[in-house]
Amino acid sequence: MRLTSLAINGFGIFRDIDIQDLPPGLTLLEGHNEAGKSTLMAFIRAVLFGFESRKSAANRYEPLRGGKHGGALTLVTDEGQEYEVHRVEGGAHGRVTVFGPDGQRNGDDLLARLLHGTTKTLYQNVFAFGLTELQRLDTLQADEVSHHIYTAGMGTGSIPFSQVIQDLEDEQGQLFKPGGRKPIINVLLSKLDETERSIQQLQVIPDEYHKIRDQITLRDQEVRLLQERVEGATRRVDWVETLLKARPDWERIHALRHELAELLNIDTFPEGGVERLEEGQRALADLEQRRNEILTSIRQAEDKRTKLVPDSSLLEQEQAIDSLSEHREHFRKLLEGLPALRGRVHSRRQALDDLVGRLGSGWDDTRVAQFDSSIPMREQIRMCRDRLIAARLDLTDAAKGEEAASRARREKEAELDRLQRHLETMAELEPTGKIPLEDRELAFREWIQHYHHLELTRQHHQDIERLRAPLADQIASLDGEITLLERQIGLPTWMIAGVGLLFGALGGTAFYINEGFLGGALVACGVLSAGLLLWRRDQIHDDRQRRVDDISQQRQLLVGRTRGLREDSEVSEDEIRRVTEKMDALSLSTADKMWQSLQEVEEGLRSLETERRLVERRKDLEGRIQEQEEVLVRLLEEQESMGWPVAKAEEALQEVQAEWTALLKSLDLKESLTPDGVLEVLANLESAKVQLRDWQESVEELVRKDAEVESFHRQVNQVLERCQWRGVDLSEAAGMVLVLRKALEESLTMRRTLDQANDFLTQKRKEVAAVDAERDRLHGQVEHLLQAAGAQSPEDFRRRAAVHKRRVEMDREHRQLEVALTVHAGSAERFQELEDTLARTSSTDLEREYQVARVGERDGLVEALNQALQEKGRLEQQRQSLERNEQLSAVLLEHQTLLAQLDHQARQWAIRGVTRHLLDKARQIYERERQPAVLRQASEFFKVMTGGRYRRVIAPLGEIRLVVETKNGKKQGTDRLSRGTAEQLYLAMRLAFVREYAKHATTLPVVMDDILVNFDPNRAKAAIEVLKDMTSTHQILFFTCHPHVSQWFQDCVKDISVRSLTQGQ
Amino acid sequence: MKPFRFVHTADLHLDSPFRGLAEIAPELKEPLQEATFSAFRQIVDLCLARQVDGLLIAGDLHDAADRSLRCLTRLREQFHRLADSQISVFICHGNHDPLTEWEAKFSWPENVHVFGSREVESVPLLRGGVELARVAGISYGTEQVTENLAKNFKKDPNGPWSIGLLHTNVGGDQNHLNYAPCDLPDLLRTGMDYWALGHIHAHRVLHLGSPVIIYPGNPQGRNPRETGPRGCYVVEVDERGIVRYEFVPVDVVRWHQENLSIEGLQHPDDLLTTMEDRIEAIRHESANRCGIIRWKLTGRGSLHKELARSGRQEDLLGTLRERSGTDPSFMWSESIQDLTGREVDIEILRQEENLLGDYLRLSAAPDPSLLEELQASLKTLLEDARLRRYLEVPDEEGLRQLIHAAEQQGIDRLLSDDE
Repeated sequence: MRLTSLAINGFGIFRDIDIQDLPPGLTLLEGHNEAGKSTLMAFIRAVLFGFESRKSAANRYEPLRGGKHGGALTLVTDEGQEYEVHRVEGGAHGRVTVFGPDGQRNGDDLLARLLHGTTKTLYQNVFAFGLTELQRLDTLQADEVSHHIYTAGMGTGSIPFSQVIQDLEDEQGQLFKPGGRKPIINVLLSKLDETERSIQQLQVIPDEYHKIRDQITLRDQEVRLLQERVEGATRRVDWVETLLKARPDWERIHALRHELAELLNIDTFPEGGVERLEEGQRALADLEQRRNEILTSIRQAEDKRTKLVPDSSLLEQEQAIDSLSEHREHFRKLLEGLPALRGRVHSRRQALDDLVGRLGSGWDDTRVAQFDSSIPMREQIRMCRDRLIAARLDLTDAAKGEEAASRARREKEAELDRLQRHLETMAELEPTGKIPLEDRELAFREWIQHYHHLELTRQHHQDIERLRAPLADQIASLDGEITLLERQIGLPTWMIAGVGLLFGALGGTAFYINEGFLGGALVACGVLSAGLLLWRRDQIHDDRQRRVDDISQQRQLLVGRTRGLREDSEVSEDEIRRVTEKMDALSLSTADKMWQSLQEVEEGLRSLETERRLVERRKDLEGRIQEQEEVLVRLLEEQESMGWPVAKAEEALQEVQAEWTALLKSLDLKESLTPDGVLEVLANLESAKVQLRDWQESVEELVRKDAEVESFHRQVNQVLERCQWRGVDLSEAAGMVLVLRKALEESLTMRRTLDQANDFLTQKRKEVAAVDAERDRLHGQVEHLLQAAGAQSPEDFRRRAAVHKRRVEMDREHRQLEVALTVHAGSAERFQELEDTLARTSSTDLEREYQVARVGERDGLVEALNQALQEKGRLEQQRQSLERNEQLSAVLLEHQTLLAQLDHQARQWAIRGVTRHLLDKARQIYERERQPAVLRQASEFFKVMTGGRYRRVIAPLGEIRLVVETKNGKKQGTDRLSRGTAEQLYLAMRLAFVREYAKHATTLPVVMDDILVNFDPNRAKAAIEVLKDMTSTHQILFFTCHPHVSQWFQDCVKDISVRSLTQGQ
Repeated sequence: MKPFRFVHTADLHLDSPFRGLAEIAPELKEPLQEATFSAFRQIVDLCLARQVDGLLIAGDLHDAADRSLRCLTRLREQFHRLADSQISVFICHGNHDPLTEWEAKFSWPENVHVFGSREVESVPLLRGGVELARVAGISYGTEQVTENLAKNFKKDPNGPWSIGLLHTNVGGDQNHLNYAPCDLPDLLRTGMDYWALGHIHAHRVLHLGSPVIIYPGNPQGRNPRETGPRGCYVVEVDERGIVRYEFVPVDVVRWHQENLSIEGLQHPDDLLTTMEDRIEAIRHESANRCGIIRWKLTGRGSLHKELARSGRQEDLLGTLRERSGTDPSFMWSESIQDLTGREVDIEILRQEENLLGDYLRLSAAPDPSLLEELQASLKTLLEDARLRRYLEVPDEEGLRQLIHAAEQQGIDRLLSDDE
């Protein structure tokens, strides 16, 4: 992109300034101090990136000479599109309007796009700079610039290399530091030391274990010895203890033995004697009481029995009374229903009489009952009726049939008559031709055929004649031609000789006038011409002869053809003649006249057609007449064959009528009755029959029920009589049955009670006998018991029982004590010894002896044994704990765990170490071989500017500083460069950046404000060379106030555009 | 001859600690300390269940250097159980438990025969006083035996069926110390019918025919390299002297090395689910044995960034351990080795003309001088005398592994997150 014009409204000292047609390459703007060079540069920056804020008023360049603050730049992109950028007062940084190539008005967005997002700082630092910016290194260290210079090409994205190295170092430091305490590996080492110490301590255990094992063996022996002695002492103490414990029991045994000796000696006594005696006596008393109770109940039952006397005669009639009771309700209902039944008999009789009367005289119950009104009879009557109806219908149909037949015959006869009349009229119209129709038609058609053939033949004949006519003329002309040709011989010989002589003469003349050569030539010509003419004459003669031959040949051909045509003509004339004759013959034979034209014949054909249609219609009519005649004959035949149906039908009707009359007679009915009348009589008769049957049934029912009532009444009175009760009327019979029933119930109840009382008495008497037997048995038992105990009485018995019981108890106690003491002593022998010893010693002696044995001897030994056992137990425990000690396992495991961790962490440390080392190696390669493109380009520029004194510019990896390398390979920092050389370096860096920026973003116009002032002439010229080189890609505006600088530029750059600035103009 | 059967085991390493575990839950310490004992108890149970005639132990019953008393008393307890069932025990000592004064101080029940270290002894294997076979063996007298002990074995031509019991490295296995070295022909020449060997921790049958030569391996794996089933052999000899053997796993805690690729996994939960599914599969495959799993995550994927985040792997381990690491049939996720990478094509990055490209080219093909430099750069750590005791300077292979890990570190650190 480049600038083509500037238009300033008001900016610093400028007002209404226009700079037009700035060229693409290098433009030098000359001007003295305060001419406005820096202002112009500021104007360009301001229009592109905005006015400076009001805080830095000096750089804002408010208009000093009036006009509106701002102006416009015209930019042309690399693609050749023109944009006008206007910036005027408005907002902090002014208001922008951009007019595009299409004249469209745009704002900041388009401007930013045009500038490819280039920032104001970047532009100020790199693209539009003065000496102040040039001299400062830090202006190259802004992020977006430094990235291109220092990190582009690292391929490391946004992470600074030095940070990566630092991180790795830090991480390694966190893992391990020689002599450190906190890093992970150092901590692990301390822990490993600890576990190793523990392991060493724990590994001493086996030696300890063997010592303990020896001690345990010693203790074992000691314990065994002590145990033996304790056992002896314990035995002694136990004996004395036994004696002491046994003494009270032993004394009791003595007392028991004494008491037993004093008691009455009753060895045997019935087992449970006292209880058994008392039980027997108690049972006897109970029996006595029971006996008295039974006797009392017998007396009471006998008293009650005497009061019970049932009616025996009534009881005998029990069955009869039951039966009457059962039928009583039926009887009552019958009695109630009898009056109604009698009423029904009467009313039915009256209805029957009505029906019989309606049938007419001569009918009574018997005839009604006997008259056959069955379904077959009715069916017979109905059949007679249907046959009568059918016969009458047949008669009517026959009459109708006869009428229809005669009408049809009449119609046919009329039709026949009409047709015959029609035929007669047609016969009058018919022509009277002698020759058959078909033959005539054939003749017509043949004639037409001949006619057409004749026409064709005539045509053919005419064609032949037309061909023949010119042939004679052609032959005549050919004859003429031949004659002519034969007459023409060719070039005459004289003419040839003449030509020869002419030339000879001319030749001689030539000789004569002393023109030998011409004469010779003319003579030669003459000879040559004569020769030629001779040769030509022979040639023509040959040609003519050939032509005569050709024509003769043609003539012969024509003569041949003429002959052929003549023959053809004759043949066709014959044919015409022959056909005409045939046609004449045909017309004469058919029509007695000569047919003159085709129309006439065709007319004849058409009239033939009419004639044929007439003949066909007549034939049709004749056919129909014949048909009608046949139909008529058939009709007559049919009628005859059918006979006379009316007469037959009348005969049949009479026959059926006779049958009906016979039936009526057989039924003894009036002859005037029709079948429907008879059927009505039968219907009435049927009702009468039903009524008669109903009346007979009700009469029978009345008779039956009267008998039933009478029978019941009779039975009641019979029962009353047997019971010696008074008889009753029919109306009281039902009530009496109820009275009888009640009386019977009472007698039955009484009889049952009596039977129960008798049973009770029998039972009680049996019980008294059983009680008596039991009493005797118990008396026997008590006696037997007293005898067994040797007692005289029950009281004696009880006394002896008490003595026996006491003896038994003392015996048992004695035995128990003896057993207990034997157990105490240990055996029977020891028991004897115990008794003897106890008998010998007092209890005080024993107490004393016990004290000595226990305290003095045994307890001391037990104490010593316990101690020995404790000691042994302790050792045993120690041994077991050593044997089971898991501590070593645990510590060994812990140790291994720590080793594993150490291994892991050491690996982590090593990975970081290796990474670091490899990165460092890569850095060296990078610095040596892969400096960013900016630095490489800058190196080139710098080398040119310094006349080859410096060959490289280097940015150490990961650092934001520059180092230069002299042609001898010596590296030095920028702080050691002279001011001019440093400025050359920075200029080289900027130009390199500008070039690089064009590759990635865009080309922007470069503006430089008198930056060569500190360059010596050689380096300044070298720098101008570099700038000149830059103009191939970039527009450069260079401001200077130094004429020598201007001169250098003009010396170096031939097509430079130079503009002068004076005091804001 | 009478048919008989015996159990052959070796390398019990009783009470020696598990190695390579950087972290253990407190609940697991006891079962891990007990594991070697439990495995041996299972062997004894097996002897009783199969009613064998003898138990042969070919050395390294324990690590004598650890001087574990507990171990010897436990051994005695188990030998007593065998004695109660008239099962003879034959022991030869190996390099980890040479027959020293310390060993000799312990007295075993009468059913136990310990072979001496001076010469090859032959003792009968009896059942009811009848000799079933003859067992010849010799113990190590010191830790380092470099003599070919196999050459001193010779079957008695008139003697019964013979078993050789020896702790030896046949054929010089590189993964084990080369003690009592011999080769297969040495063993074949002796005429023995069965060689009960010890020393190599992976079980294998060295010779199928006559004689059958077997390394039973150690019955309980004790470090991350000792993965897979571990156990002993039950050997049956029929009346013709024909041998049938069966490997029976007896390990109680099994080591697993599990490799998982994160490729295609999008979310940390997907990884967790995959790992948990794998744990369940392992549980099933190892018949519900306890297990220790060392995870190796590989592949390039979006999860790499998540895994590289500080504390993320610890969280993942924490979750796995919480869910399945401490129950009675635990599956302890021991560690996660993260070999995953970003979802970038390293080969393309390596081609690039920039710092990262240089870095990756260096890491891909380090020249010998660079390797030397790197080795030297690690010396700082080993300048510490104590660390020298525990760590070794990595050899070339180790160094290459470090470089591989460093390569990923470099990418992670140099590439910003948005690239």
